[in-house]
Amino acid sequence: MFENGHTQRIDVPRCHVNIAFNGSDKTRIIYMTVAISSKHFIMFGSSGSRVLNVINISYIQSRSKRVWVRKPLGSPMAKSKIFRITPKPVLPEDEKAEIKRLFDNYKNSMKSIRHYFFEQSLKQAESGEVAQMKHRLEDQEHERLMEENRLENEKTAMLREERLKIQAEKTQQNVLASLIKKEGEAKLHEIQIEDFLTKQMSTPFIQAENIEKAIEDALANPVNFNFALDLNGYVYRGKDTSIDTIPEEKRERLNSN
Amino acid sequence: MPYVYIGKRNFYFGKRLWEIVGNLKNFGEGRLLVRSKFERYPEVSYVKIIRAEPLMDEENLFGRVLVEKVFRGRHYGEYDLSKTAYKNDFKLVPRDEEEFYLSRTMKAEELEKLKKSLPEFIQFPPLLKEMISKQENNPNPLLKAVYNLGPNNSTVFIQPGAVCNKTKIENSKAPHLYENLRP
Repeated sequence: MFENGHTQRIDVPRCHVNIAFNGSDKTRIIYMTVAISSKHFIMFGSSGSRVLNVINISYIQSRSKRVWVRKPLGSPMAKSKIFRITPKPVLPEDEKAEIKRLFDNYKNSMKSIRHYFFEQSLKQAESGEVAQMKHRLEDQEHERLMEENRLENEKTAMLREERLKIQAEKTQQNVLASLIKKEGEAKLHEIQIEDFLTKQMSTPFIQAENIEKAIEDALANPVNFNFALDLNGYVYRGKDTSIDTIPEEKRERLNSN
Repeated sequence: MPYVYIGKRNFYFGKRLWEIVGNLKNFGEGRLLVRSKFERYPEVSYVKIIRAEPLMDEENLFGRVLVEKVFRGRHYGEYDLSKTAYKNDFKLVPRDEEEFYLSRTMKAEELEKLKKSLPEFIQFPPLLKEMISKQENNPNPLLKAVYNLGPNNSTVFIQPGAVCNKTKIENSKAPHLYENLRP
């Protein structure tokens, strides 16, 4: 267990233990550290007494000897090394092209093989024993569902027939009623038209025989529909519109309402 | 005091698109721009501005720009360059040098000539080949090759029925790497 080096790390559940030995003879323990968390650990001397609680774990100094502990992953670059930037590697053109060619070949081959396996898996999924079983079960389920569907269809067909019969009777009655109603309305309409005609006939229109007489009458009695209005609302009909000739009592007044 | 550069090297060389376009008439309509990042290719790559509308923000970083894109000699049609316009990697092509770029833009016939013919079938890896030949009773099973046929890879032409029998080292681009190889 205790082999090369001066320190030995033993991983005990929940804490890490570092033990430092004295030189090649591994009988004497100089000190032992027990890490409690990532930042704290406790240091024990060889006699077992607690020496110090260390917070900075980058290194421990003991008897003018440094014991390095690994730098935590999250800690930044050393200040002295911040500006040390590695240059980009420069490859000759032909080597670059060769690398690209090899990589392209590799990519294409891998892609082809992957595609091949994928297609094989699809094929297996189609024709394998499990797939056959699945197909059979699916067929059975399909048949059962189709049977159920057929029964349901028959039931609904019966219901539909009954419903349609009732509906047909109802529509027949409705049509008969509407026909009777329409007949009555037509009769009423005829009577109304006859009444209207007789009324029209009785009014004294100008008949074809009397037309000459009517024209002569109209020529004998000319009517002038022109009139004038003044601001007070008096109406002056015909051509006699001068205010002076007509006395105020005889003037016609426009009805305001 | 001389400048001391710190940090990583910037691989861009040039100005932002908006810096160039802002100084031109109609925001550089019809002018050619080159990205220095694409100058490493032997073919020409450039963009021709159709319409540019800078946002006029404080740092002159954003805006909308529509271009005709030519990449590695191939015409890609209209393209929205708004997302990369902020990169300080653009150079303006002077009017008298435009002919150089326009004449090197490839036409359809030239592109057709460039097409690389690739085999339809390749060989299986040795062990897999043995397994499959036993399974299928076929002494020489062939693997159907799958190539990346993206929009940028139009120079590929798959030869139907062709079989690739070459080993990987044949057709090498740098034969001096394999000189001392024992067969």
